[in-house]
Formats: sequence, structure tokens, C-alpha cells
Amino acid sequence: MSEKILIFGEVAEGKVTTVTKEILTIGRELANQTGEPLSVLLIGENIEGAAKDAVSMGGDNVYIANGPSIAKAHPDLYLAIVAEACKQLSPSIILFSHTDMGRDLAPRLAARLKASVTMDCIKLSLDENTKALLLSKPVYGGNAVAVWTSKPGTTQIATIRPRSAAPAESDPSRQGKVTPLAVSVGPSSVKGEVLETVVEEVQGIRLEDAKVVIAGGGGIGGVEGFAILEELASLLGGTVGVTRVPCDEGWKPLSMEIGQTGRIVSPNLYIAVGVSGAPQHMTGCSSSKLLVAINRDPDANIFKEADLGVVGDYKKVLPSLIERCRSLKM
Amino acid sequence: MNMIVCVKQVPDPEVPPAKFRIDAKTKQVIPPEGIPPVINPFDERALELALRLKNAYGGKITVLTMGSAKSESVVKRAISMGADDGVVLSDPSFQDSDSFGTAHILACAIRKIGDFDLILCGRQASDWDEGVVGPIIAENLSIPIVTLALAIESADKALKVKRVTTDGYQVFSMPVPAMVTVSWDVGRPRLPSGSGVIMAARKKIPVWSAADIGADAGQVGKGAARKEAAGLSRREWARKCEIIQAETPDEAGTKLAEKLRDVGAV
Amino acid sequence: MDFALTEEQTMFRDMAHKFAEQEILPYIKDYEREEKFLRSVVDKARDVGLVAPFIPEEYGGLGISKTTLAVILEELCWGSYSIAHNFLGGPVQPGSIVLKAGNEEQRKRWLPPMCRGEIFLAGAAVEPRAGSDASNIETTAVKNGNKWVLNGTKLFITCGGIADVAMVLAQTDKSKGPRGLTIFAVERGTPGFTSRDLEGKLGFRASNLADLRFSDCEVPDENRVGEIGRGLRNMFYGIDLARLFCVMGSVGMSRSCMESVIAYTKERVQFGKPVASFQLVQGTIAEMAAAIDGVRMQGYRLAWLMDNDAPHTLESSYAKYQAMKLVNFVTQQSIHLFGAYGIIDEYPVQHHYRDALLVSLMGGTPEMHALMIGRQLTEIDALSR
Repeated sequence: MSEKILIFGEVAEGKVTTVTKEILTIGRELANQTGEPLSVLLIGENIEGAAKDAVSMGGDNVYIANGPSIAKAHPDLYLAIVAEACKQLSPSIILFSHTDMGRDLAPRLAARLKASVTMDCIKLSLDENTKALLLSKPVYGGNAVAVWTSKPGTTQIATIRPRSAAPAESDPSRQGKVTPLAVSVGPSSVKGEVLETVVEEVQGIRLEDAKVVIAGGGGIGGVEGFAILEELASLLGGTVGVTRVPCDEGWKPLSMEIGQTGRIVSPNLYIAVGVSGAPQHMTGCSSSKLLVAINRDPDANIFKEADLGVVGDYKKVLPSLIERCRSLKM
Repeated sequence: MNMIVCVKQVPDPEVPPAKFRIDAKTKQVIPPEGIPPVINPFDERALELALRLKNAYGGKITVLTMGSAKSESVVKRAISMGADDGVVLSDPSFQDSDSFGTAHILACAIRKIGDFDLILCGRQASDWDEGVVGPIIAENLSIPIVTLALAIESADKALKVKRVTTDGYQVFSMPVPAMVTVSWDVGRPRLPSGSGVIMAARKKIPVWSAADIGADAGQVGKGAARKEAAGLSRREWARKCEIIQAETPDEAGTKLAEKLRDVGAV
Repeated sequence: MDFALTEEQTMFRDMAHKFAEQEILPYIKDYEREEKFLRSVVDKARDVGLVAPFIPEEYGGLGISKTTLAVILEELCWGSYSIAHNFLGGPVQPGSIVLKAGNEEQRKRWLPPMCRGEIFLAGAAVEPRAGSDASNIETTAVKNGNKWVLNGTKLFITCGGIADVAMVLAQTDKSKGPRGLTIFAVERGTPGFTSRDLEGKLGFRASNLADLRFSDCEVPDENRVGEIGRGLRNMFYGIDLARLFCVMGSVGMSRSCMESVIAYTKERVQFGKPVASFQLVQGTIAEMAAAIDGVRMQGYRLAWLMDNDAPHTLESSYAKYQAMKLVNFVTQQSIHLFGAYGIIDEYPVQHHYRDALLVSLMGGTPEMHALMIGRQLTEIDALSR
């Protein structure tokens, strides 16, 4: 059977993850446009429930392969399973989410299948005339967008950036097939082992979930400067994030980084304080609904990226901003 | 521990966005005038990790770069920081190679060098931001790979690699020879040393051609590329910024609060 | 005439600039305020080989040429003259003295640890009554058996308070005037040798300046550096290279000020326009730029003459004279163009302004250089000894 579009879905705690729902939206739309069925591959144990959800969210054929949960799995093992599955299913388009696992699997799978690979895509579309798949992705640190297309007949693999589409909604009335896939992988497919997996506890609201984000950049000047940002975040019910500079300087941990090599966020309100507005950072927050910038430098790039701006020293602007917000909240 | 570090020469990513230019017809970025290209900052961090391992375990670091004769400067930069040797891989047939072609070329050169325990490269290149060449090389050479390495320890013919994850980290054990791609978060790379600069300036960097490394003509160049650019465009600035006018920063803060209230953001 | 930098010089320039950005700039404000000697920067400089790189490799340096050193000096002093002085300027004078005038045992004894940043050397000539008039030295060294007994005071000695070894110019034969001076290396801990840090300095606050006092201080003859009576000539070995530091350092400081001024005046808006759009402001910037370019070339040429062992007395004075004029003009105008912000230490120009006050006195005042030039050209000695 030649399955055209295959999505690699991720399951956590028995449920399909949010980013998987996002690529289900994309896959579903692509399937509608091409008239091809949408297949989904899930790996895990006792994940029939997740498989049924995947059907309700747009999957026509959902395949389950036996394997450890993604949190514990060695990427080599998942790679072997996915490669085996692709041998059986022969997809021509394979979509991953640009997650830790997706980033690892996509290029290696492409090498094994002699496919093309495009990472961190923000949009998939079909060429009007040729109907070839077009993959758009940010390049040059977010300064530009490249559109890639593959030679006809090439299997195409892509990873999709989180928040590139709305998560698919569940429609229980949808019909689809759930099929266990017999995939055998030998122990030699894994070279090495996972000795330890550590998940660091998140304080407060996760950046990806926050409706309000206050971001601090190099202009904050030091770790002490963040106190007032935390006060503002607390008042507005949001959370604090950083650009790469505070991480590089050691003021804040990299789990707080927003940007190309950090987290992608899309809150309702994003207030960038002391942030220059480099593309690598903006690419992580550009889908915020309202973007506000506070910076001392009137020439800073951030003022081209924002909806509202204040040119001034944050140490003087934020206290009165906080005070007024407080009085308005009454 | 003998190491090979793959580095790429890229346009300087620190160029301000206002100076960023594209040739939409050729789908290439126009290099900014007067600003020399640099070593890919992600690869520089990979080199930094390799230098730490050399400090801890001894061994030799060889740097590889695929490019033109001008790419020599990134090899010299690496030597000035403490790498021992380097090679430029250059051949007309290599032009317009995609990531798979590049990986093939680097893998051939690595095979020619032969003796290595670890290959390191940056997690991605700051120009095309793909992050695939390292993993493809690992597949080509059939060696294990761990991505986003933060720290590495060596113990009995195996490596312990700390890898950055979205929510924390993992520790992998992997046998050598192996490959890692390196996380940005290894920290700021060291400065070149004075003696390193002197050594690098004096060194003659060899250039290896396709024939020197036994590259397969069918796997390199434009003909072998699996994908091509259908378009390249500048990122649109969709927003028009309204600067809040005020006499003092305090007043600006107050006005901003009111504006946010007006638009329903608070 | 090839004015291009070599590949090695370009790499050194980039490395020195990065060093200045990373290891000097972030510390200026705090060390200015606290008037503390920045010891950690010496260690960082040592790690990359920037402590006394001009010393030959066999004695622990890098053996770089003076022209390469010139390139490095500009970048480091672009960061801060006084902080660069801690690890590079400080060794210049005493290091050169030991190298040129000392014997092999002395070179091996002091130069390698100096290059490793383990010990500090200081050159001690200036006294309460002998500044420009070096031959008026009153510190005496009297032979007593196999030892010399030193008595006297030295003032304003850079790195004097932290020096492990001071190269002291002393009078060994008063009747011979300037030819009766000799240099002695006095080690910290020698009884009778004390130092007192100078505090409340207006400039050079991140560096160390001290008084040295010798009270019946006995040093063995092995510590005599160079021949008896040749002290003034030997001291000059150090002053020579120190002048190059001064010239290129002035270029670096001035360039930093000019760059800050350009950035600031483009940002600051008055009367609806950036200050940088006013013709008078552009005129000042142009003057700065042209002068910086000129002194840089003089510095390079001076370094070249030194590398080629060519006489350079006049050229040294020309360059130094112009450099001191440059640094005074640029730092003063920079403070001025920053308006009131110029006096706030959030902005770098204040630091350079303070350092400029001393830079224009070290290694010969402008007046001395003018008279030296005049004497050479007119063959009339107006120095009136």
C-alpha cells in the first residue's frame, strides 16, 4: 500500500501531545488538498486511546507500533521503528514536530530513506501549477524565509515548528482505522543507552501556555534587574522569559529562553523589556497578539517589530507602568 | 581523544537586520559589504567543547571545512583557539551541494583522516538553520550520534554525554567512535591565544579536492541535490509601531498602562 | 610601502579587540569607582598570552614585532588604557630594561615569571624633585662591600605598589651628573623598601600608582642591572617602548571616544534633529577622525623603525607630541559633545578623559618633546640645563 502522507505523532501520558495536534491540522489540510489519505504513526504501549483520538483529529489510518514511551526512548530505537514502518507504508511525505525527538529522527531517517529533509517549517503549501509540496521555513536567524521544494519522486521529510497551526479539534464522529503495525527491530539498532532523564520543574506558568509574557533581554543589565519584570508578570498573570543574552551572561537559565534555539510562544500580550529585537529572538515571539517594546535605544530593531513602544530606561518606565496598572485594576 | 570538528564559514550573523539583503532572483543572501564572513558561531561552540576535551584527555583536534580557498580563515581561527590541524575541502564539483552532498564530502574526508574517537559539529549553521549535516554524516559513517551535547566525559572506550532537552537534560552513554552535535549552551568560546595566532598565521592549510578524498561525483553538486529553493524573501515587518509620547519615562509608563487598558490587554 | 596588516596582525587585532570587549569593558565602571587594581584581568591576559608579548619567546613572551604590538595596543586601549596598563603597560618599561641592560641570569630570573603574570615589575625613576629633569635624581646607592645601600624616594611609580621587583634609578656618583646613575633591582621584602599606594587619583584609578621609599635598603651587586653609570641610558630602553604604548594607546582611547560620540549624537535629538546632523558637530567628529588616522600612522611608522633597529628619536617625539595633543582634544571634546551625560560613568568617555590626564604626562611631557624636537632641528639646546 502506498500511503502518501504520514505523520509521526508523539504520545505523552497516554495522550496525543499538543504539537502533534498541530501537525494533524497541517496534515489534514494537506490530505484534503491532495485527495490522499492521512496516516499517523504512534509508538508506545497501551496507546489505543491516543490512536482513537488521532482518528477524531483527522487521521484516516492510524498505525500503532510497540515501543517504550517517548520520554524514556533512545532515539536510535525510535528511528529504527519509524524506518521499518516507512518500509512497510512507503509514505512520500513524512511530517514530524520540531521537538527533541523530531529533530533527531528527521535527518537520520532522510539519510536512510534517501529522502529530502527540511527542518523547522512554518508553512506547508502546494504549488499552484505543479502541485509540488512547498515547505517554508525561517533562515538566517529569522531574517528571511526560504521556500524549499524537492525533485519529483523524492520522498520528503519535514519537521514543523510548534505553534505553526492551531491544534486539531476532536470530532468523535470521524471515521478512521486503527491498525497495529508489526515492526521488529533488533537490539543492534541502538548504539549506547540513556543513563538518565531529568525533567526540571517549571515555576509558575509554562512559557508556551502563558497568555502574558514579559521578556527581558541584554538591556536588563543583570539578574537583579529581573525583579521588577517578575513583579509586572505577577500583576498581569503572566510569566517571565528571556532572550539569549541573559542566558549567555548566566543571569537566567536556558529553560527561560524564547527564540530560535529556545521556546516558541504566542501569548496575547508580549512586553519586551531591554530587548534589541534580533531576528533569532523575534522568531520565537512574532505570533504574539500584541507586542510592546520598552528600550532605551530608539534605533533598536524591536521598534520595527512592535505594536507599541516606549523609548526609555526600563528602570524608570516599569515602576510607573506597574503602579498605573495596579490602580486601573481596582 | 582524537577529534574532528566540522566547521562552516558563514556570513556574519551579527550584522544588524537593517543591513540584511536578499537577491530574490538567485535566491541567495547578498553578503554585507565590508564585513568578512566568520566561523559559524554554533560550530565555534562545538570547537570550544572539543578544546575542553583536549584539555581534559589530551589528543588531537583536526578541523574540516567545505568551501572555497577563502574558507581557510575559519580553519586558521580554529587553530588560533587551540586546534592542531585543519583541512579545506574544495572542488568545483562540490558547488551547490545540498546537506546530503556536504555530508558525503565531509564523511569522505573523515574516512581519509581515519583515526578519530569523536566528531563534533554545531547544532546548525547560522545561515540556513537546518541542523542536518551532522546526523547525516553519522548515518553515512554508521556511527552513533547524540545531539545537543552540553558536556562530555570519557570513560573506558565510551563517552558519557549530557544532552539538552526542552524540559531538562538527559545523559547518554555511547561507544566510540561517535558523533555529537553541540548545544549553544556550552558557553562562550575561548579567545584565541597569542601563541595560537602566531601558529595559525604560519600554518599552511592543505586543500583537498574531490579526487583527494574519493568523493562520488554522483552524490555531490547541484545534480545530486534532493531539494532546491523555490523562493527566498525577507521577513515581513507586519507591525507598525506606535511610540508613546511623553515628557518623562515615568509618564510614558503611566500612559502605556492606560493604552494597554484601552486595547483590552489588561 | 606596504600599509596592509599581515594575516597575523589581523588575527591579533581581532583577538585583542574581543579581549577588550569581554575582559576590560565590563569592569571599568566598578574599578573606577572603587579605585582598585584589576588583578583578574592580568590572569585573563596571561591565559591568552597578552602579558608582555613583546618579550622574546625564550624568556616567556611571544616575541612579536613592535608593529604587531602596535596593533594590539590600539585595541586594548580602545577598552581602557589604565586597565591595559596593568598587564601590558606595566611590564613595558622594566621588562625592556631587564631585556636590554640586564645579564642573562637576570633575564632568566625575572622575565619568565613576569610573562606568566606571577610577578610584577616596575620602573622607578621619577622623584619629588626629578620628573622631566631625570638627571636630578636624589636617590643614592652607596657601595658597601658586595652590597649597595639605597636611600631615597620615588613617586608616581606605575604598578609600584604591587611590584615584586622595582627597577630603581639611583645616583652612584654625584660628580658625574647624568652619567653617574645606575639601575638596581630591589625586591619586595627587602628590608628598608616600602611602598605606599596613591589614593584619591583623578585618573588611572583602575591601575596602581605608588610611592616607593628606600631607607638604608641593602641590595646585592647581582641585583645591579647594567653597568655603573649607564643607568640613564638603560632606563631609556624602557621609556622607548613605553612611548609606543602611549602613542597607540592614545589612538585606541580616542577611537573609542569618537565611536561613542558618533553613536550618541546620532541618537540624541534636539530641535527635532539628531545632534549628529549639526554641522559644527560633524566638524568636530571629522577633526577627531582625521587626527586619529594621522597619529595611528605615526605610531605604525615608529614601530616599524623600532623593528628595523633604525634611529627614531625624532619620530618618537613627533608621534608622542601629536598623540598627547590628540588624546587631550578628543577626550575633552567627547565629554563636551555628550553634554551632561559625559560626566556620568555609565558612559565610557568619562573613563578615557580621566586616563588622558596622565597619558599626556607619561614618557615625557609635550613640552619636553617640543624642546627635544627643537633641539634636534635647530641644533640649539633650549632645555637649559
